[in-house]
Amino acid sequence: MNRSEEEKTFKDKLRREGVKIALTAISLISFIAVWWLLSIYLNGQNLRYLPAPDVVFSAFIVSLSGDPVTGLPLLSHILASLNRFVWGFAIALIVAVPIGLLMGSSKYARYLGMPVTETLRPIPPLALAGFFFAAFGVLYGPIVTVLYGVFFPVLYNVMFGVRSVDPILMDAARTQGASKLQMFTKVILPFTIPYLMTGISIGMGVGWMVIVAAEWIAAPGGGVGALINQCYSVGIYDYMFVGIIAIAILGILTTSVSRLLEDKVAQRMGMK
Amino acid sequence: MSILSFKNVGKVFSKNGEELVAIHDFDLEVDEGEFVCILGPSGCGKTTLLRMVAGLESISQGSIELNGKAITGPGSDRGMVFQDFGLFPWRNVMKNVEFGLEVKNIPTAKRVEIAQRYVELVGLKGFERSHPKELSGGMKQRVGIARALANDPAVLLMDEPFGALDAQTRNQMQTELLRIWKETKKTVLFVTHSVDEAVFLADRIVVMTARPGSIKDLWDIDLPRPRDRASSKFIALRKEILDELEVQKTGT
Amino acid sequence: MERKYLIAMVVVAAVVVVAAGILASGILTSENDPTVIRHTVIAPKDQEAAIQKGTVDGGVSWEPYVSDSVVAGTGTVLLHSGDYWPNHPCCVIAVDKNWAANNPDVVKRFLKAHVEATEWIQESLAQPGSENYTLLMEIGAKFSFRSNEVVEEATKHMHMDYNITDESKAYLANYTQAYIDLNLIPQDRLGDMGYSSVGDFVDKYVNTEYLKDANSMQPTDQMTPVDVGYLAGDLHQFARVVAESTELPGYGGESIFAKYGIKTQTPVEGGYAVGGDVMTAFNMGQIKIGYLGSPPAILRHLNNNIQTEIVALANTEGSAIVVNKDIKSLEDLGGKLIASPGPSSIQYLLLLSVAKDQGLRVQQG
Repeated sequence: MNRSEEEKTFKDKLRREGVKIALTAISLISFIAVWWLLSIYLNGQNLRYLPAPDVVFSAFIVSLSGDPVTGLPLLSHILASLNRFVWGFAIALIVAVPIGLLMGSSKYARYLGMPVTETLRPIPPLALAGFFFAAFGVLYGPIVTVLYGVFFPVLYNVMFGVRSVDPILMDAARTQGASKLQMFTKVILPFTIPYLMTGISIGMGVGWMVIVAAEWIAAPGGGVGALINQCYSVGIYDYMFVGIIAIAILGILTTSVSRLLEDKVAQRMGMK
Repeated sequence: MSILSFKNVGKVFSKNGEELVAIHDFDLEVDEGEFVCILGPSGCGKTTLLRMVAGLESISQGSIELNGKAITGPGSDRGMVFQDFGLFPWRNVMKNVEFGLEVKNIPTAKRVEIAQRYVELVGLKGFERSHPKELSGGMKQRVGIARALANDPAVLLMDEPFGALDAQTRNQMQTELLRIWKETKKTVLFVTHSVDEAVFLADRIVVMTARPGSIKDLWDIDLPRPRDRASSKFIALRKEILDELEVQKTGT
Repeated sequence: MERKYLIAMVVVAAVVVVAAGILASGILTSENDPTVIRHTVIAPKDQEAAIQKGTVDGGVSWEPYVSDSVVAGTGTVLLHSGDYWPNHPCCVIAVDKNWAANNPDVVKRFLKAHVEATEWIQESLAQPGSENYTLLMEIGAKFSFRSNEVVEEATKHMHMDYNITDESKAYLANYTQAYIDLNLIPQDRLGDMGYSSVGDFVDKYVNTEYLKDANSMQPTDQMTPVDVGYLAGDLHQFARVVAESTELPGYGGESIFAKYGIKTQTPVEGGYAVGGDVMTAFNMGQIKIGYLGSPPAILRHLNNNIQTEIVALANTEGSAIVVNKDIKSLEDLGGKLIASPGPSSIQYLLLLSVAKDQGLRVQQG
């Protein structure tokens, strides 16, 4: 009885998973099919802006060793974009985390900081890209643009984390004889880490959006955004789509990794 | 022998420029090893009183002395157990119990030894590596008690520690607490609004008046331990104290 | 031991920085292979700042950006394109092929205005100090947001010319061949589009018939609206700006376009950023006549089958390689980082050709 019940739930689970996989496959296959049909139709109308998947695939193979526009292998474009991304991200973290901790802990720091951050936060990074390029040059402009985009989600989440610390935990630490510094390192900091991870996860998404557009403006050393732009300007759209797909895969990879990490950390920290 | 003495203790909160007297003229001597329950209607300031002993609230008037020394702030010579447990969610059971020892920079080996002892005392052997979210409410409070005891405090302060538990677990925990009390011989100051709980646990019950809180009455509970809730003496005593509280509520 | 969280954060930060450093080292350090010119894409307007900041050693650009650097003293001209490729066509006027076939008269009147404006510019430039000369400088300054001085410098090296000669066609064929060699136009594309050779393509893609008849066009009061695309701030397209001006003496406050019954309108006020955008606008039917560089016109027509044809030149020459003071000769370009507006530009082709002559390779860097 028990065994057969177990078997039944297992079968149920298997069926549910099977349905999920099947639907995912149908979704992806129909997407590619629609793309394919649309491109055949458009090319038939002499509108050559949507290359068919197979054409993009052959362009992808060529791109691995070097696309005709830039001559650089796709991997170096990806590395160049990643490099800007990582730098912008790293600097944003190094700057935003301490400021967030400070603004979360001190009312006065908040009074001092909030007018500025509240003024700057709603400005989309790309609106400032022109200024960043003028001020920091084409080499550092894209990095600063990413930095700006990542800065606020991290800052605000860290600040929010510090402010969300359960007062009972603070009381508990105090009755256990913890000093001010110990309360910070042993209660506030660990409590804030899952919030920081949320900030990082949001920042990842923003970062990728920003980097492509920032590279569109200028990109010494290549970059996926630069590849897309240059292929567009020359009109070889199959290679342009290689760039688009590369950026999509990078975005999916990094955001899902950061989400997974966010989940794991929250679980590990007992917050979820 | 008195270990904890309240001398003319008062607490005044100021809110929006208005002064609110929460506690007024509270005088009490607590003997070493004694189990004292503070009982009173909600809002009478009993939790505030406990937090003053813990050093989490300032003392507006008078003084509270522990072993003859006036209390000025929090310290590990008083262990506090909270109604909502106050466990660090990112620390496992052992690490939660070790917290106070860690803060005092006690070497790891010694720390682990002490913590292990208290984890076993509260009956959580086998759960050392569990995180709070994996534990039931009763188990969480066992961790809270172990953590408070690990510092070897002179007095154990308990703020409605079983208030968040279901009735069955609550009774079970009361029995457990008495066992632990007997083994550790700690002085316990226990805040509750349950007359039943107070009668079951206490050597002495302090009944407080409504705001501003002060002592209305002191009851010495000389029922033999272990106490039987079904005994006529228990029921009678409970009713007497309950009536006293009721009178207060209706304001006569 | 929450210290471990602090340590973990520091370690993560350190790892990130180190990883970034390793990634960066491959890109930010320059490999000074003296047989290679490293090339990067930077918009002409940003090249001056990039040279000044030392991000690049030089750039290939058009007017007024070349003269910007010259007048400000932030860069020196290593090579004027006119000295290297005399009379080479640069910007052109392209039309929507089907629309032009159905509206030949409008195209001819448009070209008549273009010719008259071009000749007015030529005459004004021939008389430095005259009122018309000063007016020309002012019109150019207002359009390009530059000083009269920069505009004056710019006019010294670019030539306003509308005629498509056999020489121009030969240059256009060379550009096309260069792109085919670069694989930026697939080998079989000419055949796909029904052209038998590069020469055949240029013969068919360049249509001089409208220009031939333009001279016989007479002023008219009948106004025809025409959607026109052009590049923002580009002085190579000076003739359009002048033909648009209502300040020319002897026109009674009317523009040259208006004189010939052309009422220009543009979907993008202030102009498009690059020639590729002008071609996209053709494809979307947003414009019927466009001023743009000849390379994007050729590339996008062939690659994307955008049905256009070249009907006149806008200018010849007028591009230059601008460099910092460390570069004294063309040989010095080896191992240097040089910017261009991108692969679909005359400037890029110029850089490739110069590099080839010097025995240097061009690599994206």
